[in-house]
Parts: sequence; C-alpha cells; structure tokens
Amino acid sequence: MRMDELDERLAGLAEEGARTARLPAPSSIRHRSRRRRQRQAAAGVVLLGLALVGAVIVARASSPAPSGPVAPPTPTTQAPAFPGGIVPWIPAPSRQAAPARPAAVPPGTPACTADRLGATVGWEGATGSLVGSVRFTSRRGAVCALNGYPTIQLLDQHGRVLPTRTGRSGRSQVTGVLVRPGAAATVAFVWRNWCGPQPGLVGLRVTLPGGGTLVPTIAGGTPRGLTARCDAPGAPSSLSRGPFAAELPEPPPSPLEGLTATIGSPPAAAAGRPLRYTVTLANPTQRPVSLRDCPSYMEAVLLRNDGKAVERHLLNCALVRAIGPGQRVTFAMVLDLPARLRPGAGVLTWVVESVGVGTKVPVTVTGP
Amino acid sequence: MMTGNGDFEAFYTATYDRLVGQLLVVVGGLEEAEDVVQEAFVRACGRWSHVRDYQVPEAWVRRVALNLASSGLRRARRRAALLVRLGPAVDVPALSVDAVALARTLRKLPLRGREALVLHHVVGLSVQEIAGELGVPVGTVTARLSRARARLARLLAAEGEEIGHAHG
Repeated sequence: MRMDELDERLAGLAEEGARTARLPAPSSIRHRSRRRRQRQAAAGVVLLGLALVGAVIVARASSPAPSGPVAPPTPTTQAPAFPGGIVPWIPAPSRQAAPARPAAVPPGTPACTADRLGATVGWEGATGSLVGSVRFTSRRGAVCALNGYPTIQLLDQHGRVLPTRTGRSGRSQVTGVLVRPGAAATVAFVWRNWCGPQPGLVGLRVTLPGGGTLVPTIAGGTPRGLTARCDAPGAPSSLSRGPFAAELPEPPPSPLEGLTATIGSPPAAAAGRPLRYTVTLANPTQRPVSLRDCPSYMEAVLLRNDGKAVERHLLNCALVRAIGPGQRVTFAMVLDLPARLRPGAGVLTWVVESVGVGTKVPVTVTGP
Repeated sequence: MMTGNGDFEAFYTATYDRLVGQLLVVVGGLEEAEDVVQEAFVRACGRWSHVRDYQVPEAWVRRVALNLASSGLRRARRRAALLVRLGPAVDVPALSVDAVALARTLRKLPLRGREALVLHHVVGLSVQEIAGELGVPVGTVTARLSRARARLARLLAAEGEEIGHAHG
C-alpha cells in the first residue's frame, strides 16, 4: 500500500468518525468531573485503578448484595419508620429535568452592533491548531441579539489581515443569542495550517452581522505569538468559526450528588415476572440531603445476550423528605422482566440519571 | 473568554470531534472512541487549571484517551456506556459501510500499532514526536509503524481478494 493511500484511508476514517461523533454537552463533562471530585472528597475513596471509574462507584456506605432473597436492611437509629424498614415502591412515572436553556430573544430586540458590545478573545495551541473563543458582553446596559456567524479575521502585529480561507463549523442549530448585562455570548474558532511568515502578535477583528467591527481585547495568558502549524504547504490556511452561542451559567451542584446507592437483590430472577429488590440510599455527608425535588431513577437489567428490561420511575419521596447525615433509607423497587428475555447473566443497574448516583449488581435471568 | 469554564468549553467543543475520529482509528468502534475521549475530557476538566497551561492540551487529552483505550477501562467504560445509551432516544448517526469495514480491519492490528498509525498518518506527528509523546524510543515507534503498515496492507489486500471473489 502506498503511503499516501494509507494516509488518505486512515484520515478518511478519522474524519468520518469526527463527523459522526455526538458531542455531549460540555456541562455533562463538567458535571461528571465535579461529581467525581465530590465523591472522592466525601467518601475518602481513592479511585482504585481504572476499573472503578465509570457510571457507578461503590461508596463508603455500601453493603454487599444479599446472596438470597431480599432481607430488610439493618435499621439505623436515624432511619425513618416504615413497615419492614423499607419505603414501599410506587409506579410513578419519571420526570425529565428540563435542560438549561439560554434566555429567548424577545421579539423586537435590536441586533447587536459593535458600539453595544465589549469583546475579549483568548486562544491556545492544540496539536498544531490554534483554538480560541471570543466573548461578547453588553456595554452600558445594552440589550441586543446576536444571530448567526460573525466574520473573523486574524491580524498580524501591524494590524494587517492574514490570508485565510474561512469556514463555518458547529453542529447545533443556529439560534439568536440574547446579550444583556450578566448574559454574554461566545464564538469559538479554530485556525489551522499557517505556512506564511511568522506574523508576530496575532490579533483578531470581528465583524458583526448586525453591523460594525470589533477588535477584541486579548485575555491575559493568551500565547500571543503562537500560530497554527504548517501542515500542508501550498494549501490555504483555514479559519473556521462557530455560530454565536449563549454562555450558560454553571448549573448549581445538586445535593443528591452526595448520596451513595446500594442494591439488595436476589442473584437470579425469572423472565416474565417482576423482579423485586431494594435500593438503599445513604448520606455519608455531614449535611442533610433534601428529597423535596424528588429525583427520577432508571432501573435496568442488561444481559450479555443483549436482552434488556428498562424502566424509569419517580422515587417514592412522599414518605421521605430528606436523608439525614449518616442516615440510610431503603426503597423497595420493582422491575418487570418481560417473558421474551432469554435466560442469561448480566447486571441489574439502578441510577439517578440526573446526578449519576447509582450502582449495579450481577443478576441472572432464568426462564419463565 | 479563555478563563474558567469558557475556555474549557471552547477547547472541548473544538477538539472533541477530531479526537473521537482519531481514537476511532485506534479502538475500531465509534462508541468506544467516544467513551475514552469523554473520559479523557472528564479528567482534563478536573485538572483544567493545569492542563490549560500545557503547550498542547489536546495532546494531553489524546494521550489520556490512548492510555484508556489500552487499559481495562475501555471494557469498564463500555459497560458504563450502556447506561448512557439507555438514555433518552437520540438520533444515532452511523458510519459508512466502508468506514466500519476499515475500522474492523484495523482492530486486527496490535493496539500499539494502531496508536502509532493514527499519530503518524492522522495526527501528522513525526516519528520523533511520537516517541516523545509515547515516551518510547524512536526505534520502537519505527518498528511499530512498519509492522502495522505491513500487516494492514496484507489484511486489506486479502479483503480485497475476498470482495473480488464474492463479486466474481
């Protein structure tokens, strides 16, 4: 195989993968990262190698799953009193939390012009590319809308425009973004393949769709002399930018993130019958965790033979308003196993999806 | 704005797709590539105040993703990803038949060979740069590259013959 053919085929596969990749919301990455740090701090658990990383973490309050029929948990002095010490199961439908959305642009909002906005820019190198973002803020209390894509030009130290082929990127639907005091907008950009002379201080000029041009202030810490790497001499340098996007505030951390979950389940269950098990939520933190905002959970049996049974319900919070520090509460759970499931081994998974608190245990499904 | 969450978000948005594409070549499956890249970004996010100061943060994330791909985490994450895939229905784009076939063929190569291939032929690093990034001698990189190319060529040629016979 010729080298250029190999280059082409592998790069083609990578490009197709990049096109096909599904970008999770940045907030979900931040959320997972934050939750991991909180768990490490709260439980004092060091992630013991790679096998413990994932959607499920066994936390300090966990107890081994019973090997036989489900037994009531050992009552604690602070546990609320329920028949058998277990909060009964209710088939309440789950509730999906609305994702954070930027403020809508009210009708009649004027388009942002350069005199209404302040702008800062920063960038950094990323394996040959230069990746950055421009942040637009309201000036003098202006309320206006940014729509679509700006025009971005790179400038050398003398203010001359660097020749680049411009393009657009971004998968999300392009919508108007409201800019007002306290609500900013951003535009991301990527610069690739600069084979020209070293331009010295690189700056930026942004032309707004609503009119006017801005030269953003360069944020401190930005590597001003950095340029995109020359990857293909003879090919044009490219500068792609995304659409205006609202800068969403960081969602507040959920107190539910401090909880840990353990499952008490029989090791085997029959297809065609409900699987009855328990989930114990423990609060290893020093503060009470309110269940006023009652969470939904997902329960699933996932078999290695690809069989699965999945349900989502609302936790039975009517009887438990909060879980106190050091307290644990056990909830009864029911999952219908369809008769069509083929017998096999797998896992029973239970998780509060909004915060990722959950756990799983091995389970075997037998014939009806 | 290149401070706080904003710059991580811009970095993540700008590099995620590309890294998934590169890891696809290494791990041979889109979901697995997404798993290891997402996990690498989770780790980058947790250390962003340090990672952002690296000369090439994307290389750090790719290094972590490659490490994850070569470790048991890939299997653990695959299981964990089941949870994610059981979430609300989304439009799942599919790779083309050719891409799937090539990815499947690549999986027949040793992982270290795939790693060298992607760093050299997709990312565009020199043998010396790869050696630096992987922390192995230049000769090791050269050998891995050479073996991987030769084996891939044989595999693709054999598949070409099979296709030819099937159509013939």
